[in-house]
Amino acid sequence: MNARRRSFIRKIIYLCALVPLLIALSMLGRPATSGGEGRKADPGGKLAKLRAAENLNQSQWGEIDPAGEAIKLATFGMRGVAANLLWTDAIDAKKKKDWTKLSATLNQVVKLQPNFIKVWEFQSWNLSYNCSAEFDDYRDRYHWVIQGIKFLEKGINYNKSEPRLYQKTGWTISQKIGRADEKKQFRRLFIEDDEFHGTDRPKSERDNWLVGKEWYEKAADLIDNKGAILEGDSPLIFRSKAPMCQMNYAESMEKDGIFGEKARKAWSDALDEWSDYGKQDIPTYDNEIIHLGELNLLEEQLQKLSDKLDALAPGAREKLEQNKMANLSEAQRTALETSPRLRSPAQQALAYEAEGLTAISFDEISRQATGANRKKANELLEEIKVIQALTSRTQSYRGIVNYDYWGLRAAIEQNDDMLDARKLAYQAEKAFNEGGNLLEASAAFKGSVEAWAKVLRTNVDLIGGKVDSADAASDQQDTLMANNMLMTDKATNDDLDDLIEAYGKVLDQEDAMFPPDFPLAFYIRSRVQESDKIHAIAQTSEKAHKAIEDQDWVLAQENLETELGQWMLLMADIPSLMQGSDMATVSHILAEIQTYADVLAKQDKPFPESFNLRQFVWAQLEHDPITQAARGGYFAGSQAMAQKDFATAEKAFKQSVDAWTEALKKYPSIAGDKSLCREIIAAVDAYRKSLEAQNKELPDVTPLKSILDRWSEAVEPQP
Amino acid sequence: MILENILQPFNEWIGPALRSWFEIAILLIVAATVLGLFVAAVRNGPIRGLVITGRALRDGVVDIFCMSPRRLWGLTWLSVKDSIRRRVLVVFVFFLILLLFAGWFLDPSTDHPLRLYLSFILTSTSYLVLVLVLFLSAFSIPNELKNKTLHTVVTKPVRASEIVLGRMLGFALVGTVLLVVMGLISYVFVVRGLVHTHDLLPAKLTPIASAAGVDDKDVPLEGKSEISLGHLHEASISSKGTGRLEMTKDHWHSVTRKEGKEGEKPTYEVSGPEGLFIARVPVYGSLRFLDRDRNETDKGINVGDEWSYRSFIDGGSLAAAIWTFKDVDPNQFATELPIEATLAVFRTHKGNIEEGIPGSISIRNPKTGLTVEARIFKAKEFKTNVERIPRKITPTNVYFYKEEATGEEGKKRYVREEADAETRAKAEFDIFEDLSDNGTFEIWLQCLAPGQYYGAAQADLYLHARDASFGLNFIKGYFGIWMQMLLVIGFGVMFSTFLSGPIATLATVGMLIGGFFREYMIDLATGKTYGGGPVESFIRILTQQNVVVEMEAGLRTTVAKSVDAVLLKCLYVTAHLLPEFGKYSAADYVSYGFNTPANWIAQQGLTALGFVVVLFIAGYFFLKTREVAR
Repeated sequence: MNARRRSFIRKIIYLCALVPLLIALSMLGRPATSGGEGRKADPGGKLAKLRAAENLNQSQWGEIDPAGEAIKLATFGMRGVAANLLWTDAIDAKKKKDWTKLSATLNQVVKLQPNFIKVWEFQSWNLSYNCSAEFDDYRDRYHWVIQGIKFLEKGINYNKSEPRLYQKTGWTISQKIGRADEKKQFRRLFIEDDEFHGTDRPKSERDNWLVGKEWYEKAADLIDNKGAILEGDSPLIFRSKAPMCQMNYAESMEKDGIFGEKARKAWSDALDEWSDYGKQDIPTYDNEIIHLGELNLLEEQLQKLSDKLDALAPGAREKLEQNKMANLSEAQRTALETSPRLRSPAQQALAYEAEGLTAISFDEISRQATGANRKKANELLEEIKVIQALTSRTQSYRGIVNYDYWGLRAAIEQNDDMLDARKLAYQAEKAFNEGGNLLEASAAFKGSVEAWAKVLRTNVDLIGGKVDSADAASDQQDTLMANNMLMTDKATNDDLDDLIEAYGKVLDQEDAMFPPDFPLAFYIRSRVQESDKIHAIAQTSEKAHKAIEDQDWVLAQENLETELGQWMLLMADIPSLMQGSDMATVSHILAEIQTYADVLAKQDKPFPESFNLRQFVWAQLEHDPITQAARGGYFAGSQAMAQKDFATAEKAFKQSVDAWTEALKKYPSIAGDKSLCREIIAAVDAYRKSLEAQNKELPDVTPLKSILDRWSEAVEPQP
Repeated sequence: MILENILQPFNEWIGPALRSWFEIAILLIVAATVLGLFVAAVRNGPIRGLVITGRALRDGVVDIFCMSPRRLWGLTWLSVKDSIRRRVLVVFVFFLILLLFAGWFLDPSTDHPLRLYLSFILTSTSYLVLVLVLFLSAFSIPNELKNKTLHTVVTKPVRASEIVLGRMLGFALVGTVLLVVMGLISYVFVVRGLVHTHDLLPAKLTPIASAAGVDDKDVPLEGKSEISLGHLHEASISSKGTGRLEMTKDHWHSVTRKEGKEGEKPTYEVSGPEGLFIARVPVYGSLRFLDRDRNETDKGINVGDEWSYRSFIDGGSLAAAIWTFKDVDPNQFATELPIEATLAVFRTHKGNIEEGIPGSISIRNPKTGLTVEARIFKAKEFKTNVERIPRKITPTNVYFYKEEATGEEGKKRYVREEADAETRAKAEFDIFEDLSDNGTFEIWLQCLAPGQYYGAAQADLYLHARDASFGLNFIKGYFGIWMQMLLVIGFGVMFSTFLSGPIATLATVGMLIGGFFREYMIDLATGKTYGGGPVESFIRILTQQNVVVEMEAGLRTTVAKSVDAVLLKCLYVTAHLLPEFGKYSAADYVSYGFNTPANWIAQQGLTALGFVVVLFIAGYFFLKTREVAR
């Protein structure tokens, strides 16, 4: 009895102890419920509230997948271990190129850890970039790029407020499809991909750059409006991605052969978006907020403040300037006075040094202020320093995203000439590559080149006032800078070089050279001037001419030979020079060859049979009217000889011999060219025969004598 | 399909296999007898011990060879009833739940849906069945000993061998019935899950070429089907109104046009998936290579793949991958030789992106050297290139590839000679008359694009002889699971004769895991992996030493290495005593659409039987040592 009673009491005690525990448990773990008809919403227990407050509810992240939850439970808390094993399986499947298994394994991994963002990011990259590259057929490659994108979309379903995944999707769609080697094929397949887009999305909206841009915009929306945090990218880069997609869209559109209003609209949208980007708040590394588009505003502000400061210390700036200039060495001053484009590397260094030495800081000017102005100047100085810091930061941030270039490019691309230039270039390439229609291609190239030249030369109108007002380049200086920027920009250079090369190919097929008034000759010259080899050439040339002055012919010859070799290397970079794309440069090179011939003559050396620019001279010579006249004369003479009309023959042969004499003067390297010399000897020989037939003697052909002496034995007379 | 080890012909396999089985069996018998003799001698003195051991051996022979089928059947049935009493049927519920939810895991829009479905079904079935029979077999005898039910059995005149074999057979019977039912359900599941059709809307078809004067109806059409099971097909319809939805996701569909009523547009009827549920019967050849200098080699070039399964040949040279097919029956290929090849393609330059890399297939008579270029094709990587070479070939090129003396023994080089005028003038070459030597011929694969490479492994190119029944192949897949089950039962029952239930389970699981990692254990024991044996690894862990760094010479290392040598030897022996569980799975054959060869079934079946026989005898002797069975 006693025992039963004791056991009963024990049970009561246990029950009593259970109650507070249950209450505590309920307070902690009660789940949240949503409100409904006649029911109040319950925020749940402490844990539920904490989860909600810290955004840790899986339902807040995205879809909850019952299968995934079931698998997670089935691993009995060994989720990490299971995921690791599966991960190694995935690596093995990739190694063994078992793509079905890889996909299936990845799906299992993400079912276990659907909120592990890096997994989605990494494996989508793996699918889109690595797996796709394993395939030979571009259609298979495309398929795997899409698999990677779909994988990311699935990840977004589970993590709806994770901007990294949206960004990555945008990146893969825009960059992988739009930049791969197979971009032409990928972009085409992407537009045709009904499975991916769904049939209701029109083809005009399926461009990969536009679709990619949408994803970037979604990511930005999450950050701007839904409180998501930007990770992985700096705001500067992140914000530039959507407008850059628009730029790339406009660019690709033209590559696909779409021009006119559609292209203009695309570029105008790009410019608008770029300007909007310039207005966005961009936090810097030291938590200042800058706006890329406000540089001019800042500079104006700085100028005003600087003027104010100057007013507080009148004449101080001029005085300081004079003092500093006076302290420069002679070499430094010369370097500074030389135009920046003409400076040698040594001068560049000197000028840089001199610029540092002559720069006048605001501190120096403020120190010159006296009396009551001194205090005001100091206050002003503080203000100036803040603006100065903002300006330099804005400048460097603009440099990172190439802000100036893209703004200018988007503006210029809307220009009629530019649109024409692009369109004609496209048509020309098409006519040449597809139809092999030389005439059409040549005409279109000519038009394109002219339009380009106009674009590069046009000054103020170029910008058309369309750039954001803060950016509007309104004076000559800026436009010159802008044009300069366009001429020296890699992308523009590539476009122009490709264009000129393609034009050159067409001309080559027509056996023609670039016309002497080639509209882009000034561009070629600037390319020559900008070339990394030009300074070396200038130096060698200088040494050679110095040696000539000193009459040290051996050294002169050596240096000239080096110089010609250097020109040949430069010509490998700018092959159009061979076809005479810039006559000024061509003449300069020919003059150097002339000098070389003179130096050889001084030493009584014959012009060598092979020299570095032989091919180049040959191209010039073959297309020179003098050569044509020489050959024409010989041909006409030969015909007259056949008809025994010796007087006409004599005249014609004389014309030929005279032309050859002139050619030899212009191209002294002929003396080393066996096949040309054979022609000359034949002409002289024929000339002599026509004279002999009339019992006349051969007049003096001294200029050609060296050739006759040198080659007569080596060359068998032509029948 | 990837076959890292090519199956040996049965007649070559059986001799050595039987010999090593007998060797191991005799070794085990001798070892067990010596051990028994030793124990008996220690307990009862040497002479009595000898007598006891002799008697035990004699009894054993009698017990094993004089079992009564009637009693055996009784005991088998007892195990079946025991299993049912232990609610084995619960496993069905599990299985059905699994299938119900399988839809969530299985995505039919994957590239090879059948592969995914089958590997899921076969894996999950095998796990369920293996776990079930594991518990059944490992707990049965210990439970009966505990409940003393076995005591009532041993009071009857039964032999211990009958008890052991009865258990094994009983559980095998239960497992077999389970597998049959599961197999039927899964077959329906797989087929139902993947059989589908597509809508083909006339509005979405466009004419390929509209020839003038041809009625709209008679123009060939192309277009796309509607999406079904997450994919669509390119459609091509001939002018006669028949056509097909082109190959996607390992299948295609045939299409027939149904004329509509007066004034209505025709509709299209699309068949179910074709080419999906197949079991190809391949004829494999042996592979060797020719390098660019025409020297014969075993391996081609490695293009930097981590996995060296495929070797590569360079294009635009005389390098070739050569498959030799021996004793091919001409009747199998009466009209054509269907060659199927899965090739790897490696480009060293981009080339033309839109075009595949061209290659050629030639057939050579190994006796005369006559080589006929039969086909030029463009390789599709990771896909099956099907080339149907007609029996009578009209060649694009004819050569003689003749062996050339290299001066070095065992080294062969080939030289290409132009064919004589008479041979060149010949319009047709018959594969089996002109190009083979009594059914033996070579297929030469060459890559034609300079700077590009083809890669191949032995199993990558085969002759597609015929298609076997998919249903039968599916059954063979289940037969693989059945063999695994038999082994688990064997181990479970054997261990349960002398261990308690949980320990027997653990031991069996240990065997199972060991069996799956057998290759790895052998690699470890033969020093093919880095890091040395257990002691050395332990030292490396403690000293945080990289596995590839040589151990510091000295006493410690010498001792560690000597102990490891002994341990690794034990590991080597153990590993060889374990059945290689992974090898019993025919899942790859079935899911890749290849017929499981009878040879494979015979080899694996015999190996499994070999294990079970040994396990049964061991189980019998272990049970005999227990008091209850004496």
